[in-house]
Amino acid sequence: MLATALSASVVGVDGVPVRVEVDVSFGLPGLTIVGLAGSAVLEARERVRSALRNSGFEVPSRRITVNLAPADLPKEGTGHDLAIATAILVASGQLDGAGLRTTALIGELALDGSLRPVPGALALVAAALAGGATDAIVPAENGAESAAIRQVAVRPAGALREVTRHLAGIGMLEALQPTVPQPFTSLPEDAPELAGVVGQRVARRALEIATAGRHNLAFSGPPGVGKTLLARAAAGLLPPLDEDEAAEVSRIYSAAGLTDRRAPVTLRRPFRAPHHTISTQALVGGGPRVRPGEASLAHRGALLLDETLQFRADALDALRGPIDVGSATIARVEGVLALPARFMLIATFNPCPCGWFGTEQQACVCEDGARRRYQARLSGPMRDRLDLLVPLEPVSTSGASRAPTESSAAVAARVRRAWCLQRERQAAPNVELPPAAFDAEHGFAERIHRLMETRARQMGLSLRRVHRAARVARTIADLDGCSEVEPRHLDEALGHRPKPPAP
Amino acid sequence: MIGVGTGPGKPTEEHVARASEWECWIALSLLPGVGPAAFTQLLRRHGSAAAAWRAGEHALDGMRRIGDEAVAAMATTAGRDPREMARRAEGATRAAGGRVITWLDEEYPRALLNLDPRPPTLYVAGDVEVFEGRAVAIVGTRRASGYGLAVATEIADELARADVVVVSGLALGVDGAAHRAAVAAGGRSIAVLPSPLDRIYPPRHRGLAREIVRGGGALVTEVPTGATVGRPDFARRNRIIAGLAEAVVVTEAPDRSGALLTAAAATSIGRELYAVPGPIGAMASRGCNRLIADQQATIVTSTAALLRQIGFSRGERPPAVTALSEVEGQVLERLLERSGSIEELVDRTMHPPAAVASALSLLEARGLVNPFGGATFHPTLAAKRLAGVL
Repeated sequence: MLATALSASVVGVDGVPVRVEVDVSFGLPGLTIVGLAGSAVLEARERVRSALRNSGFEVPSRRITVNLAPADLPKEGTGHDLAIATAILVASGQLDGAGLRTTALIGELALDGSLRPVPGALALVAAALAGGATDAIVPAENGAESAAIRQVAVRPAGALREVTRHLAGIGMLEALQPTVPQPFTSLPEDAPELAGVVGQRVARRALEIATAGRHNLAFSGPPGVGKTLLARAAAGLLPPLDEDEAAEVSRIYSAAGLTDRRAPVTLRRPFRAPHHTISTQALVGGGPRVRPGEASLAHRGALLLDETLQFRADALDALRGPIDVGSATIARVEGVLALPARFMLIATFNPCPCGWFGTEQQACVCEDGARRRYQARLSGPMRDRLDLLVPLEPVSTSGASRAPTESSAAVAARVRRAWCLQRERQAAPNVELPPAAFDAEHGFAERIHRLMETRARQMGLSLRRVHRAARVARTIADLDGCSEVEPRHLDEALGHRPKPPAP
Repeated sequence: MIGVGTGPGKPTEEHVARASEWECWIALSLLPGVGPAAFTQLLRRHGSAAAAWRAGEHALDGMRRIGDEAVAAMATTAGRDPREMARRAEGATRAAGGRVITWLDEEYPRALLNLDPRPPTLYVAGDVEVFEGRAVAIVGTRRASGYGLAVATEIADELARADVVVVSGLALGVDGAAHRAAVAAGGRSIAVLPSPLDRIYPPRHRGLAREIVRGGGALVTEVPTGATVGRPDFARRNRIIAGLAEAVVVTEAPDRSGALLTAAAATSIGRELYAVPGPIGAMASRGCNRLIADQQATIVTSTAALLRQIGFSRGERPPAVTALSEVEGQVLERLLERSGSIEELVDRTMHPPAAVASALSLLEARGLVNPFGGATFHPTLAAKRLAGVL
């Protein structure tokens, strides 16, 4: 007899609906799983067999064939266990299969028949919805995150027995209320409060501009000037995600198995700060079973590369793609996979190995060659992709720079207002404005175009650099509350552009 | 025709005689261990390079302070053909775009004639005319601060405009800035290399070296073309820098900088020595400050004063710049008082960071502020001229 159950598999950060087909027929007793099942899926044979037996069911001593369709898609993980077990019960006549048509079954089975959580539940339920499911039964621990998909009635269950009773119509599993994204009012725990940063008004201004338009920002300077502190403060300035963005971000975190159980769907923008020893794969994603990398985990948020020049050169170079197109492309035997990765890059680095090159306070003790090799680690193309670069100096002890400084909340409010203005005008943040959008509708008057040309000639700038400055200028105008970009906005943007190091 | 220095024409008897002395001369100078000192002694003892060559292993007998290497090398002269050695050296030099010049040639820089010991052979690319002009050397640390670079640029620019040849060592940092400014101002420059002509050191300044030659200047080195030298020979290079110039200006030098060796060489051969003071406590200027404190060097208080002291007149004035806004004017004024970072300028002008950053861009666009990265902004020459500071 034949039975079909609905399940899903994670590919990259997206779920793909999977139909679990089970055929119980005469023949040599055994359980075979086909459909490019990975080792964890193959081991489902043992888990399913024990779970069925220990839940009081019978494992038919006949030939059982399980096919996971689409059969050409490699499947990994343990999330198909529940669907396989249930389909076997239906195929062997131990359970009525009427409810299986519209109910997705997701979960890993323990040997005693209880359900264990799986990574990527949110993505799996989203896929099930695409596959035609109206209901989804998920492990209890995955309930809250799965319920973020409103169009599906998500029913958490603790054990196989509960699932079969529900399907048989004996004891219904309650559907969860859709999870509401959690708003936040406080700073993230690890984000420094800007009010505590002494001086560095120029760097603070650049930080505000960068977060307001999601521009790529770099701080350079000697050790101890507060580069990292300022960079981390960006986490407290980013405005909340909107609901669509929140769903997108939650799906990525779910697929990576990094969902915060207490707040499965948050409106807080991601802020990722991987250590510089990170591998290319961990940074942009990949691996035998494709997992999103830090670039994708920072999607819609910020990616801080503290001590950027200490990162592996190939890892840094791998970020070029995501910065340009907003997604990390991973080539697989089965085809090319694109993981979403639109993030604001924040880089910090010393100007040379000892850190003091170009400062007046202390002499640099680095060999020229060593310094140049060090600076060259930030390749030309990467430098090109930075929108603002601020060299920091040790804070002077003069009274003026010790004046009280603004709090993160005050700056965040201005940043948020600038984001609102952008959203009203266009779909994307300013950093993503194509040059074609530098028109009157976006506040670029003819005289700004003329000024762009003039400055390019005077300063010897590439077209790409001028365009980047134009986007930054748009953001500065937004912070200013101006609908038109004015010359002073463009000049300020150019003042923060990355400049060639002194000869 | 033998050396380039002899010019075209049918070789006469006298020519051949001189040419073979010329060839022996080059061959002798090519021998390992035979430096300018040994060469000079050999010449005094034997009367000519050819005679020294013929004397072979006994040529050095009884001479003091001669290395074993030179003795060993002289022992091999009998088996070598000086003509062949000289031709090979000349061929290689010509391939590298240069020529070989000895004391025997009239193109040998006159300024070097009172060096003792003086280099017997020079390898020169570019226009030898440049040796005839008045020359001032600008030297300093390779790890220059923005200040050091700005000062070197300013002085070189002024000197070049006054038609003075700027001599330096083509090194990174101050040297490079001096050459670059001289060339940019349409002036002539001499780069004294620590390496052979076919392997310009540092490689990063190959382009600059080409520009120097194109601008009517010259590249000079004592190291034979094609020589397989280990480390570039900076000490000997520095002597030539001092020798070619009538005055040496040290713009920025920390303790134990190579520029101080040039300064010492300048003093020992009677060249005027000038040093640019740095902030007290600035590591990068400690060498300069000490030169001034020990009264070894004359202090440079401004470029104009330096030019007056050396005895040159000022170059022409640049055209005026269009009017600046209030903020721009204030930022430029503060910068002319003292270079500084944006952060500092925000403090000093009391304008918000946005206005200062914007003003700096505009000043940069008008060529009044330097465009380099790093925290400190410096006013350019044009800015100083505009303000009449110079």
